[in-house]
Amino acid sequence: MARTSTIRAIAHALPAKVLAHEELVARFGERSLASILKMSGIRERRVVAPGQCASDLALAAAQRLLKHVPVDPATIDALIFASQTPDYRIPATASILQAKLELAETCCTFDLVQTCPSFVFAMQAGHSMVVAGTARRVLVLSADALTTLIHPQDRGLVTLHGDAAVATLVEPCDDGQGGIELFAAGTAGQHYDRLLVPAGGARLPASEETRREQTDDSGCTRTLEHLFMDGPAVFHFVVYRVRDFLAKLLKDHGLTVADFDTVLLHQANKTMVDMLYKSLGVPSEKRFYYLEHVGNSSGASLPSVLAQAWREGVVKAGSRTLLCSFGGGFAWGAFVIRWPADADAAVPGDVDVPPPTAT
Amino acid sequence: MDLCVKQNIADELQIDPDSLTSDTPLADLPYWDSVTILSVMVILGDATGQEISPMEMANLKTFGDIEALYAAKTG
Repeated sequence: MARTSTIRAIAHALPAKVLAHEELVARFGERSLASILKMSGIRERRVVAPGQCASDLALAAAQRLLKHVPVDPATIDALIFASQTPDYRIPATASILQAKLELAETCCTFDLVQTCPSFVFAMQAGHSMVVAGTARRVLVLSADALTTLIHPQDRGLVTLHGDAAVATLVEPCDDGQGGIELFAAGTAGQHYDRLLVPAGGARLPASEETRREQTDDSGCTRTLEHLFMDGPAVFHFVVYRVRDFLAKLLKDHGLTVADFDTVLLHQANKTMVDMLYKSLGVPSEKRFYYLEHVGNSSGASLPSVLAQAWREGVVKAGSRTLLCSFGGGFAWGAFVIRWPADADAAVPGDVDVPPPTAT
Repeated sequence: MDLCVKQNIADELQIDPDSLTSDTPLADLPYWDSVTILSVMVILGDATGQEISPMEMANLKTFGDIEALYAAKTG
């Protein structure tokens, strides 16, 4: 058993297809997009092409990571696929990826379903396995293709979201070398209906009625099989509830923002992220953004930020990072990692995943 | 309402602030939508230093309601 775990490497992957601002202007008009661009800070989104799944992005990220890090895939004891957009309802996409990555048959595989904070919970699960000694090496694959659940005429959501995947390799960390220091999480399930896809699950099966398009008062169109978001409710939750969660986490552990070199947040939209940073007193040199040209990639957003922060040298060996994500449920989570002195988690190379070729 | 706050709100709504009266129905404004509602929530929160709830935003029907909310939050 190890005292703690650490992230040995992290690699992200983005679909090559870009949904640019200009295309949305043609769809919705310049004036109606002006306030969204200003609020969100998102100018382009990476979106899956027809036939391209979240797991395809996850596979690409994992393959790049395994090519860069000299580990035998057969030594990966567990694969966790954290996603809201699996390949099938049954079986777990993690099992399919085990075969595609040619991992050992002794590998434990499972899907983890949560909204935007899924990376935190997947890390907690992987970390727990390492510390308990039930897995020496865990591959966490965070992947969401949320754009497949958003109606193309829902101006409020199609402008925000992108798709992405991230592969994170979790391993034991020796005593005194750093590693993950704490996890914290929370849930307020009474607000589940503020961010949801109402139909297509067991509670409201898909039907002709649930496929009927409806346009709301603000001109956004969707069906019950598409994602719905109550913007003010989500905004209020993040700006006040998540702020209070982080403030309490710091206080409970005798920490302040000064104890961290970087504070990384789920890239929901820039205004929201900035309000959270400001309320916590995070100075600009400890902030990092990765959304302007990729969009809000839901569960893949926070690990994408971390992967890119490593690639740009913002997160470094020996430094300490606070990571936090939040989303539908409502659910939220955070963890702290002190990077070992010899940490080198960046995975170089092209992050783009081309569309599938016709067969 | 502070003129600067009114200007900021008018900018989000992409209209002349002089055209906003207490009786102006928000639903009649072409850019009163899910995104500008959030923007106004941020403007009011920043201007008053107070928490603005989703319910308070949902109850806004006229510009006069926004003015009343601002007044209530600034005491």
